[in-house]
Amino acid sequence: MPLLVAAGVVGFGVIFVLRSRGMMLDATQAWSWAAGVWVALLIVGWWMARRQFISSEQALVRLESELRLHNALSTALVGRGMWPEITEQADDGWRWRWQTVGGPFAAFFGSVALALWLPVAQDAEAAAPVVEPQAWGQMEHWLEQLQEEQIVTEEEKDEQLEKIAELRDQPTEKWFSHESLNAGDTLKEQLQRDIQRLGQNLTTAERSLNALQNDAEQLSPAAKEQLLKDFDQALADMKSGALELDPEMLKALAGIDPKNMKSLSQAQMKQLRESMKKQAGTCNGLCETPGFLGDGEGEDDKLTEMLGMLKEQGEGAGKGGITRGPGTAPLTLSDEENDFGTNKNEAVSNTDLSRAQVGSMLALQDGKHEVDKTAKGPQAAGAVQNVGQGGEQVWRESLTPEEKAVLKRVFK
Amino acid sequence: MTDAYASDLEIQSASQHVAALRRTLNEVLFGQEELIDLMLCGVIARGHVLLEGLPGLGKTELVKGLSKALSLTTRRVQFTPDLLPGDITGNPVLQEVDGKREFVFQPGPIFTNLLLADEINRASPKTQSALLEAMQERRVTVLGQTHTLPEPFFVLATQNPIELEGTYPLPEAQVDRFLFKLEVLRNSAATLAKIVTHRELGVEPQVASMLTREAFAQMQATARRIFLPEIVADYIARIVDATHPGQSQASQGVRFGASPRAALSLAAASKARALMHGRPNASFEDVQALALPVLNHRVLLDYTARMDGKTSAGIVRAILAEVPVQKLATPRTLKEAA
Repeated sequence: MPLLVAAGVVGFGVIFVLRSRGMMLDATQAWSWAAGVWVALLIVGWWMARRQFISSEQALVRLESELRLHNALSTALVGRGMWPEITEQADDGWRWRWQTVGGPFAAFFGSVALALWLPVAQDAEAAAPVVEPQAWGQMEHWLEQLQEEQIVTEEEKDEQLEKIAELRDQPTEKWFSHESLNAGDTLKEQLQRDIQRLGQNLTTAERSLNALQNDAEQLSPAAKEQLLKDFDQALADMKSGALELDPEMLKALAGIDPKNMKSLSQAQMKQLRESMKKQAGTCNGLCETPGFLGDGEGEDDKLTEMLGMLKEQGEGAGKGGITRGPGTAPLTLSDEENDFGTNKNEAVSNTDLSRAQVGSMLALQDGKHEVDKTAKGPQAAGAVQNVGQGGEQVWRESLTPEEKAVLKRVFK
Repeated sequence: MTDAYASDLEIQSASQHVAALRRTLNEVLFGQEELIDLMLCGVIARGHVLLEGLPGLGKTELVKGLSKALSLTTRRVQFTPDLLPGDITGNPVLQEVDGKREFVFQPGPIFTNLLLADEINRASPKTQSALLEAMQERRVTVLGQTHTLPEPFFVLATQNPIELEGTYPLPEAQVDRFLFKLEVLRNSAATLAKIVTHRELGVEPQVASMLTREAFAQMQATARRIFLPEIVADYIARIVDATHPGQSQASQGVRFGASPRAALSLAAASKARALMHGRPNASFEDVQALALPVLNHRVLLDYTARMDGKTSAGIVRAILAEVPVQKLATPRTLKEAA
């Protein structure tokens, strides 16, 4: 029983610490472990208690003692008497003390349940899983948008998402490793190039169709030939591209004979071109979002700009005069950390205590204990500070009028 | 050939006799059922009994009734400080036999089946020891001649818990020879009313003989052949051992614990009690019922324990509560384990 309680306490601590560190614990898995530990403890308990198991003779003695059988069972066992009759509603003294027996079990499973249920500060719980390489989320967003616009099929999107999922399946501490970031960037770059190419191909195909449909009479045969060639090239690229175009769109495009545009009605052709235009617009629109190829990673630009500004400010510090010396600390991000010479840990104060973790430092204050520095020497004990008339004064004040009267009578 | 253990027939017969004796003695002494049971148990176990109680509670009547019911001879000796050993055991008397003078042994009152030694603590230690030697050996040696006491031989001694001036408390070694020390308690008002109704002052109650001497001897022999299970013997041994200082928590304040004779006495008394209840074996319940009268006078307390108000009876009760019926590694409850 103590083992069970101790195991419950240890389990509580382990689960709680793991959760506090951001590890996602599956409840089923935790309960499986708890059940396993429980079974193991049962076996250990049986092993430890087996020396104290009683024999059948001892059990008989216990039984006859509880049932007040006057040792009839022990006597009958050695053949010196008859076995007593079984009495109805015999009380053998066995009592299940559920509170005593069930307490440790309840404590064990309750500790595990409490550790799984106890709320952990959200920032601590979500710290590791939420903060992931930005590229993953971007890719997911792009793929979602492509699928919504019916540019790619859901299967194509899932195929691309699987690659991201492989990266995410790594241990969280490896998400920002060099290899992981490199792989993510490569994947992102590949996806970007595929989207860009798809958009370009759609644009090319749409323009070719537009020209062939509306301006066919005005075009020279060479130009016509070039447009047909461009359309076929775009169609072939879309068929063989890594990011496969939606099959229905591909089928519709493949069914067009550019040399005989009259096979489709004007309305059908217009609808098809509008659709291609829209899809091309989506792809090109994605190409213009921050973080896309050629965008130059916008945040980095801002950071460079800020660093440059700070660098300019820092270079001017400590230039003689009354502010001679090292001056204020250069607030530049460099390989060496800033040394403010305080030799103290610093922390950001947080007034939102609801988001505080257990054991997290909320603030650090610099101060001193309030010590009463007023000099206090030993005071004279028992000294009489009364400058009155001594005993006479006391005498007068301590006696009641009745007592005074009695004394006067005595000494008269 | 006699069987090593008592047969069912013998046990049944003995229990019937005991029931008759019990009924008879309860008609002699009202309201003392427990005392009568213990007295019968003592005599069936061939033990001597020390009765302690105030005068007039019926101790002598009980002894007389018992002797009549068992067809035994009885004598009574009032112990006084000037009583000499010879006054009990008997004296050699110079007599002229065939013209020669020689000492002829005149048996004392001890030559009886049932001796009532009234106020035994008033006699001198020398006289007490003479009686107590005879109790143990069941024979008397005077002037080199050994005289065997009649069979059966019991001493039922009494002592008063009051007027202790001029008394000689029995030495521990001699008290140990009494199987039981029984306290004769005063009667309740209802019992007193019954006594007043059914008794006349100076008139002894009529007691019929219920058992011959031989049948009684047979009953005693049957009691000896009652089965004593090993587990019960072990229980007796552990109880007696627990009376010694340091052997149990309850024995704090004990100066001397009970002797091996106490263990034998407890076993014999348990067998006798089992026979009285018609059982073929002694049991834990017999031991628990008889532990107090057997061990009460054998557990001697030290000065501090007496000052603390502890009593031997309290110690024995505490030992009974502390010592389990069987020595097991597994405690009965978690509280015991703690």
